[in-house]
Amino acid sequence: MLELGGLAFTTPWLLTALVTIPVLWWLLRAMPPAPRLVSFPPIRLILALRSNEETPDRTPWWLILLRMILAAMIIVALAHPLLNPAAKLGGSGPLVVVVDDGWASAADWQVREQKITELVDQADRESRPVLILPTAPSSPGEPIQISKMMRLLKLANT
Amino acid sequence: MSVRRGRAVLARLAAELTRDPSGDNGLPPVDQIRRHSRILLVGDFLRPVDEIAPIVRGYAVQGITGHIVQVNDPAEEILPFFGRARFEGLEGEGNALIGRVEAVRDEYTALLAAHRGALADLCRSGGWTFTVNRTDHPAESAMLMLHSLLSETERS
Repeated sequence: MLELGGLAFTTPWLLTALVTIPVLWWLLRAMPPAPRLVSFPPIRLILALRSNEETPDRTPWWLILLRMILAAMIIVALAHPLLNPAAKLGGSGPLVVVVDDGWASAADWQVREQKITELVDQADRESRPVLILPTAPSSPGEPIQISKMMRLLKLANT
Repeated sequence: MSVRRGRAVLARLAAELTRDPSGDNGLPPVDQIRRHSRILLVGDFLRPVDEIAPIVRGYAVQGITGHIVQVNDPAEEILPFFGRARFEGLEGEGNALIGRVEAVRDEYTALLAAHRGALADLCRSGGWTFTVNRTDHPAESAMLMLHSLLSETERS
């Protein structure tokens, strides 16, 4: 994983393909389409033309630039960019996410869900297992299942 | 080839037509021919005017009038090509790579017009006539014109 400011790449080695872009530029400029051959009796008039040197047939620069940008974008896209990846998770080993999924958290559930997804993605990128622990009692009146949490933690640490 | 009459002239004409043209400058020689003869030259006349001038002047000095009919291909006239093209002469004049043919078309047609103008001036100065005919145009008009020109000279 390579990070550049807010941008990160999960397969940064693919970015080495960017060095081929100058080669592509050179190829497009140095090898214009082959000229057609015309047998032409008034060749003397052609040889007498003065404006020829100033009008070489080249691929227009903006077309080359467009192609370069396109190639660069494909390479960068293949390197799997991530915008603002979450900060690295602390510690090591499995990640336990304790989620308050009781009625009181319904108001901002979408934010919580998003955060959970982020954490899970982050752990996934670091190849760490994830455990999600909901804290809401399964039936009214039941206490928070802290014992379940402890059990899971124990399980994860083994 | 000097002007003769009789059957033998056919064989000589054939021999002349089948002669190997290499080492030839592609221009008719200035021969001593009979006074009051008329000369009809038909060709593409794309050589420099300086090379054609001695022929016209050479005959004009002898008091011989003539007609030049320049026959050109439409492609030679309008340069109908696009993009990159390498032009090659048919007589080893060399070749030229043109980057964008459409960009030089105007200059080319101007050069051709100037060349024709110079040919016409040359003809006029020697009392000759100059006609242009394109291969995709009917030859009748050129033939008709030549006919009237030749009969005129005959009458005078």
